[in-house]
Amino acid sequence: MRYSNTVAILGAGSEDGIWLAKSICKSYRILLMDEGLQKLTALSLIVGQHYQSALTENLLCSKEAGWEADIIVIAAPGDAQETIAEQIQEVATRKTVILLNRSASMLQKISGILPHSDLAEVLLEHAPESPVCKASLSGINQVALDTTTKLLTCCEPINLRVHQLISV
Amino acid sequence: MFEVFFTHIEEKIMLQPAEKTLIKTFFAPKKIRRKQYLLQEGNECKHMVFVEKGLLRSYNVDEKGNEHMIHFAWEGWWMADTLSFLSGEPSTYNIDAIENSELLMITLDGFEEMVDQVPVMERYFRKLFQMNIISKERRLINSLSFTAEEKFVRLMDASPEMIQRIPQQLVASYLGITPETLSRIRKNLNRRAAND
Repeated sequence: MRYSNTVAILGAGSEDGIWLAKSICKSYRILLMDEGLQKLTALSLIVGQHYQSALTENLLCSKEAGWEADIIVIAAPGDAQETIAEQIQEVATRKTVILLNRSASMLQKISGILPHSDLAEVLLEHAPESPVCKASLSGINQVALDTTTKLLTCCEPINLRVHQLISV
Repeated sequence: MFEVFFTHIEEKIMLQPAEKTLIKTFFAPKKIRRKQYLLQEGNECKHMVFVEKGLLRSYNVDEKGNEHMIHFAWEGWWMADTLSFLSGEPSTYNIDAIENSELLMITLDGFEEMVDQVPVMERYFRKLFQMNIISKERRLINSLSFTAEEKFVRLMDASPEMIQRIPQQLVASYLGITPETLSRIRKNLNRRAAND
């Protein structure tokens, strides 16, 4: 088994979760976490079809997935992100936690739950008619921004519009 | 998650509850599976790792593909390529898990921040590094001065858990002998013990 960073995608069955899993599966070992084994099995197949050698595991527990991960992505929509953040609180210390969102930012709220994590948020503007996915990135420190930027370089074509360091 | 860690530390220094809470914020808890790498040769060793549960090994691989064991770490032990961790140079070691493991990982920046904020930890690490130097000196003396059997007997005395827990071929590599030689030594020792 070669060394590669492990990324846990929590809420992997969401549209954004699937997009990310397919995008990064060539470069990272991925832990797919969502409710329902059937959903995860289907998702593993999609990722496997996209890249045969993908290293993926299905997990039903956010805490277990977060514990095993180097980088945690919360791809579940809206309020579910708060619940997931609470579940991973104990295992997310000093890890980069990336929030994938579409519109409203959750960064302030989640930073209160995960005060010792390197938090970043990617606000996605999926444009189905366009081959380029637009996204803006903000983070609470440079580690979070650098780790997230590196992860997103696997997601070509992506137009990363903003690099914003915010203090929370 | 920090039970073994604090038990180990409090064998050497006393900590206040508030200090324990603060110390926890510097460590990333991480689970790794058997055979999974933590570090591969050529990469920078970015973490010093404490083993809460499980077993790790560090080793290098020669040009013929032979593995040479450097160090083992189980519950209560630390693991890192110190040279790479402190200097930022690429590591010449590999570190992987012999058993499924639960670890606590700290970066160099986190380490410096922690000893700044919890100064008593500096004392703990001074003791730890002193023991590490003694252990390395002993290993060097053992490898230069003793026969294969003497090396094995000394290891059995110093670290019986290593003999029980770690596969024989890895123990042999750690001692710098072949598995066949180790097997012969064990048979001889058993025979002698039965005769006594």
